[in-house]
Amino acid sequence: MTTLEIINELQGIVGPAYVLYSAEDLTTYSYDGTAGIATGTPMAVVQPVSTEEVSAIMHLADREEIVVVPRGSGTGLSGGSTAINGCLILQLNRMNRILEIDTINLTAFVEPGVITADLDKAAAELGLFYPPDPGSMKISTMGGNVAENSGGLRCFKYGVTEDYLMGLEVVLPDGRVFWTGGKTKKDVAGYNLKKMFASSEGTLGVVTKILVRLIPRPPAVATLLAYYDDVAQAGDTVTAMVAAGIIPCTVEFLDNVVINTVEDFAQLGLPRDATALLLIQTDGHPAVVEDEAQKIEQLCLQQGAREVKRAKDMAEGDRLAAARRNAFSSLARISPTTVLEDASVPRSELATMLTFIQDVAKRYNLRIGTFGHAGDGNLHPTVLIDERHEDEMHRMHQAFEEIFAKAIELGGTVTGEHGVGYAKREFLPSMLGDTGMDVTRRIKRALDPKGILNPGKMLTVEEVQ
Amino acid sequence: MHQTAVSKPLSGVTLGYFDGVDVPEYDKILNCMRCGMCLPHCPTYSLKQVERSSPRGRVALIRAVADGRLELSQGVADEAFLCLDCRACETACPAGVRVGYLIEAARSQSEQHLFRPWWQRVARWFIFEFMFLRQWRLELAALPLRFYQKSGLRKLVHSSGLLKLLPKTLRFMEEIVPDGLERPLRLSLADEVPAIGEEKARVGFFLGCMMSILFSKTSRATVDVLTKSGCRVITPKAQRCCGAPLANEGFKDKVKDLARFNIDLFETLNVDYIVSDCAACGCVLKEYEEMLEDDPEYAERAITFSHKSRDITEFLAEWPHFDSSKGTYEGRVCYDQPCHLQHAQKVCNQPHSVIRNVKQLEFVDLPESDWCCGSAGTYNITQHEVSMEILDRKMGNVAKANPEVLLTANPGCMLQLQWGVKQKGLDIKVMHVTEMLSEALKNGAEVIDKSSS
Repeated sequence: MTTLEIINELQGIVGPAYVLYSAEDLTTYSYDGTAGIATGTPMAVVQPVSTEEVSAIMHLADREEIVVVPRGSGTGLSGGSTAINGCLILQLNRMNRILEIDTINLTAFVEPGVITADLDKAAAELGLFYPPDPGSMKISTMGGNVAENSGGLRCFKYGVTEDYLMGLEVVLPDGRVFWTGGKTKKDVAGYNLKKMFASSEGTLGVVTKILVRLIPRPPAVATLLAYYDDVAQAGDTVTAMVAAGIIPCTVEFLDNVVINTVEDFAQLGLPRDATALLLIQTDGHPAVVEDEAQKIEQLCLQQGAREVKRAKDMAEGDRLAAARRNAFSSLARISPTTVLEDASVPRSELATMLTFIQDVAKRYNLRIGTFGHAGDGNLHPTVLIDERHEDEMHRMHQAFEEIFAKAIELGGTVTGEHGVGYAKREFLPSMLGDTGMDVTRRIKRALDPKGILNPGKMLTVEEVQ
Repeated sequence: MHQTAVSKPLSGVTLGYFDGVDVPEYDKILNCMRCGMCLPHCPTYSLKQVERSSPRGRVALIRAVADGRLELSQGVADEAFLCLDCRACETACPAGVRVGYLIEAARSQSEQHLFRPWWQRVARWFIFEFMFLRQWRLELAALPLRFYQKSGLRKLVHSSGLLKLLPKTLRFMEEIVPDGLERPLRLSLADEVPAIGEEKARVGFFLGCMMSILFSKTSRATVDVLTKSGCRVITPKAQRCCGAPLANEGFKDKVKDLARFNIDLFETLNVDYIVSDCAACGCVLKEYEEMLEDDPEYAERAITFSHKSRDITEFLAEWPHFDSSKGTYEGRVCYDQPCHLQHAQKVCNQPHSVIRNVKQLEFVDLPESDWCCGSAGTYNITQHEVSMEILDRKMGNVAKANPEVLLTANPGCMLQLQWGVKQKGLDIKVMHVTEMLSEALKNGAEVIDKSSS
């Protein structure tokens, strides 16, 4: 089939207004949020509005062996929704209805194009809470969150997307539709398919409906800010909190480079010589929050924090959180290209990892600022670079090879949140091992024998064959 | 269709398919990380739901043209002009990408390279390269409008239902002109108005075409508030358009001539500040510095000029001799933030504090006060349908807030909001912040007088 014939058939499925193929559209649907990776040019972009349309599109793709790339808002950080040359971009943002919020069973039933923040806002209006809060939640979609098993700041206490997943409707690469899961908390009928599709990065199926659980919204929150002269003390503080039976809902960490960058940009009065800054939030029942906040303050000081501030009210809480909120912005303004990376280590190894990153930065002569989710050990080393400088880009890749190897060595992972996509394919074998890779490949081949759904993401095309 | 450049390139810079004047700097394009944080704040993305009609998409198109991967096509130009240039994306952007600068460059490049039918070129030249270059030309054009109103002809036209016969855009253009047009302030205001009481500063007043011609009463209120705050208000009558409409419509390079003239003019006045009550003007005046940074004769002087420039609300909030708590104003009041004040000039706290400190005023939050009203310069005419959709959203929020008075600080917004309020049949008065402040000070003075008598 020629491109024109394919476009005609797609127009028959979704209507001519929803098949895009102008040069301008093809250009703007080629990228996602990942810096410094090459992208292809799609053949067309199709915007279905229903499961039936998605299924018809996949039937066509299966028949004609057209490569399909599912896409939400295209804000991923590993290349999961970037275009592959000649592919069809399956753009899902028209499927953006919140179908139901069940206040008795505490579930939400949504289409994949619903923006995560919009879901949480709708839940909040009913006194409910959808906790996973990826940094991009104001624009990233539920479908994308499922595909990447997105985390966020609150995950230390509340978990990630898969922990809230109760059901999925999936369109397979061959166009068949199936449903897995339901509103019951317990359901052990069959393999745990929904969890398999979470973090499948659009390589096993296209998610067209999502059932998630909600929890009651915590009524109170307390915010604290602590400065340290020693990174190990910051890590130890989190350990001490856990030992005291406190799981704060967020523990955000900024290293010295980031503290200074934020201070340059936002002038918040942060101490420029502090080695680490922790932003801690605890939420829940007001009495519990009050008790925990007091204990946290004491624990921070016991672990050696030079200063601890506690917010008296929401407004002050916002002010204290400003440093963390401005972290990425202040880093991004320093150089033309900002590469936000993602590596997790067990919390006990936080200090070791951070020291290693700083050492790598020195050896490769790169500017790297690290902030992250200290609670679960998920760090975001951020490289401030200029993508036009080939030598610098090369050094950055080498630096990250070392950082990822170290993360694995310390018992961690090369990607806590951002996914494998294109960006981390080469590291997957060292994480999974030969057998793990074989299991992964078999699953891929079983569900997508023709290799049409997002080929080359997570697994190289050669690996699958 | 490709046509050769119609204006001679001054700098001979080429970047991909860009060449001529106003070629965007590649560094400014490269800053975009494609994180997508701008998308939820963009009114056109919210409506169109396609990547090309988002800030990230537009920057990507501009980058593709600059890289030589995409021709400077009509499609690219269409997107550059579909953009409101509201700059809400700039406020949201973590990397500080200057989307407004890039859009204006793209528009200018489109003007230079793309086809327009001859009559369009003539009309645009007439409006933007002739009429706007002298205040008296605009004032002359406004004269028939004033007659149209004062003679009662307008009332007749409105009641006759004749307007319904006009195409939507023309009908809108008739309806949006405010009632009660007076003599342009440039012609009726004294060159210098001394401060009432002790003089604390010499303030140059940048009149702005729209304020002077369409809202002369409002600008008079601005002068009133300034003189009551120890300012000698100096208004040079020879001043010319700031250049905002030109930059908006792709004539950015021509703004430099206006900038040089205005800088020369205000230099002779020896003022401490240059104050404007039009957010669009204020934004461009502050950009003169960047526009002329490569001009050896004007670079320093443009810096001085831009550094003296203030929006009136910005000035009043920071001016120790103005205290809005000395004023009283009874009523439920909302404030809609002009895009070119809040996003482009980053002035948001100042108008809020100046309004809220007025005694007895009941300040009601306007939901999405940071969202464009759709006026966007000439946008409500050139992109009328989209402008109306965006206005609908604004009107929904206004109705929800249900104020008695809707304040703003920009004439374009005032026109759009007044029309919207009338259209929806809402009983809400749309006013400029300075109008309210002027009234408040008068009320306050009465209170003080009454209490002291």
